[in-house]
Amino acid sequence: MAELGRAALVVSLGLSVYALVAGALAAHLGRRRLALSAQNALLAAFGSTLVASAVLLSALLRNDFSFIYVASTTSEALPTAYTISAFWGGQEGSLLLWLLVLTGFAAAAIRLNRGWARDLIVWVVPVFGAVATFFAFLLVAVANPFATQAAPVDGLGMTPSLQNPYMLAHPPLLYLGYVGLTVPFAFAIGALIAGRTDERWLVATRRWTLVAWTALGIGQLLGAHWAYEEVGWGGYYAWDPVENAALMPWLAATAFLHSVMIQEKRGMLRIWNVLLVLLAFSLSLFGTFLTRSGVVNSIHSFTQSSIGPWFLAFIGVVVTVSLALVFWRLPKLRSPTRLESPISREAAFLYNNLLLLALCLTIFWGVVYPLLSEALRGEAVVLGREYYDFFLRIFGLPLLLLMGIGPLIAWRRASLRSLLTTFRWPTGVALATGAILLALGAGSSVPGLIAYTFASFVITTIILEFTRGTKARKALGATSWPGAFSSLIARNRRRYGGYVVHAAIVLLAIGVAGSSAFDTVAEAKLERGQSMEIGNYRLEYRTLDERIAANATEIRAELAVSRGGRDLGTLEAGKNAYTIEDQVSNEVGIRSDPLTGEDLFVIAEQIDSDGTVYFRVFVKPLVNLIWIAGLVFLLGSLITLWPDAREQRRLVERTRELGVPATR
Amino acid sequence: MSDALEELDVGERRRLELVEARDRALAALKELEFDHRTGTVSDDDYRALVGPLRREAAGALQELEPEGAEVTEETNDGQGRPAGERTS
Repeated sequence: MAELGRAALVVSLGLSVYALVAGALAAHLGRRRLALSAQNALLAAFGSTLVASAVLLSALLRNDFSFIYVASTTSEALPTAYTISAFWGGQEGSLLLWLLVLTGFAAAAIRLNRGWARDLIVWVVPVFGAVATFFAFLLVAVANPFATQAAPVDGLGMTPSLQNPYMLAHPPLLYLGYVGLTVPFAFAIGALIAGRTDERWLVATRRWTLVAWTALGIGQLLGAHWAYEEVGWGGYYAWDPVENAALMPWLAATAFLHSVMIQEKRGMLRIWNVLLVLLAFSLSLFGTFLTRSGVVNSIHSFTQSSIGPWFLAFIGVVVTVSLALVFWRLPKLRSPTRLESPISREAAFLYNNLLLLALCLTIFWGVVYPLLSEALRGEAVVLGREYYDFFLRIFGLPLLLLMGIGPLIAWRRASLRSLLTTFRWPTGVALATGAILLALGAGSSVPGLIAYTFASFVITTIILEFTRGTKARKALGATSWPGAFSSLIARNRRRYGGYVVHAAIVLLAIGVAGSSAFDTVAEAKLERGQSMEIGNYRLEYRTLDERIAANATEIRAELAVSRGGRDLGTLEAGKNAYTIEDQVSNEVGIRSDPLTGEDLFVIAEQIDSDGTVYFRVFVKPLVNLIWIAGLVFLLGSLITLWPDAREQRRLVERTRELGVPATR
Repeated sequence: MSDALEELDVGERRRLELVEARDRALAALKELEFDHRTGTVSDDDYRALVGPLRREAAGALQELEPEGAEVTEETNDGQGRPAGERTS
């Protein structure tokens, strides 16, 4: 079986090289059949990578420890679901997943767009081929998942923190996001080489970018929830370098999704948009590099490996070649229109872009600074939480406010008098909210208070937009209010889906502000029968039990919880001792209040042999809004992504008008 | 069937640019009308914006029309009246 896997990977490499070389030759020489052959090679590369993936999955499910990868990531006792997740739990498997998704996306993106943008697609194929060649080469020559050995009796098992249901979805979603950003990159580079800097590359990649961005966003939230439940330090985001690695391309893609609208509406920011796509893709490569090279100390750095220099070299080539192409095509990228006024929707989007990029680059500096300081001074200086929190406030709070301002300003320019009228309600609600919260004592955290005030401003603008839009649709002939509402969304999915995403970001901001700026913590060493208090909660430590699970010994302390004298039931917190892996993990106890969104979060930090337990307990107000934000974010993304028949008709009509048959 | 890749010629590329410019202007007009109807854009701002947008759309349409054909899109010198009643 291992031979089949190795052979399939070699075939994938050969087909990717062919797509690169034959695709470039076909585009350069103008050969139709060769171009088609290069496209088919990418499709075939997906097929051979699928075979390689099936071989690895089969080896995992059979516990075939003659595969070094299987032996180093799983064990006999590992539950089947986690055995499957071992596919992406190790370096070689995750690189194989990269290649599988990449070739699949490439084949689909080319298939879907070759009918109406053939002269662009011919140059997109070799770009996909180049990226696929890099990953296939890594898998064949540097990190082969099909290396074999004399099979040991059992495997080494999986890192305990990865034995969590969230690991079934969090890493694959991040990979979908990272790899998905290859699609806009390949089209942008293809457009630059071909000199086709019209809007077709944007239209062709809009949904792909949204899919990648959504997957990255949801993947990060699932990762945050995993960290919250599994890592057990009392938080959900630690500015860990690998967490940041996923956040950076997401921020760059967020900036692109906004600025692309300026190009579509005004024909502006063409250079900027290409640069953002290049940045997002380079950061997705950088993210994979950080996750898999072991170059940084992180809860995610499971391996030290030799792929780092290869990744750095590839990132260097990507950045250099991309910038050279942009420079070469500058005359074609220059915009025919200019910003008419600093008070306009496009200006608001531009400010949003600058803030997003500033935040992204600040985080990038925080990630690379320890690496640079180690390289230059021999000592890794880590920029701590204060650094990131400071810049999150500096750039994040104005960003939050801009989410409310942008939608209420007209394109091109708006008069000050008009703004005063438009913003009176949101401003009034925001000021009233701020005053009430101040009176209630929220002034203990100024950034928290500002975040809530801005959040109420944004929510008011979103409600206003939906209300006014629905009224307008009703006046335009909708038969009922629900009909007017659904027609409003159906006629402009991007705009109103975008507002739903904005609402999700507001929920996220409220949840983050509540749980970080207004949380409380208490610690106590308790014997059985003793109790502790935090806020209105009282926790009584009752029993300590030990039980044997499939792959671990579970030790749990049971606590009786009450609030204001009312019994709220019991909560368990403890540790798991993983026998095969020889590791111990914190298993926290969480009690969520569905009405207030508050969590009581209990960590059994230390369990002594006499049954005494050292507890650390948090009360985290509004933290559950963060997870609800994920659902709202997904809803908004789905609204935006939903196929738009009008748009499709417009594209077909446009192709027909040009006198170009849609299928030539 | 020829083995040569079919590419857009100079004329087709120019038409593509014009079609994109026309669609951009028409979409912007549509959005402006709706934003004015909802009250997001004031009467004064609407009047200032609608004229140039209509001229842009008309310009692109005119270039796209075959020679001799009449352009029916209303041109406006910036004195456009608000279309439709405001709903707020």
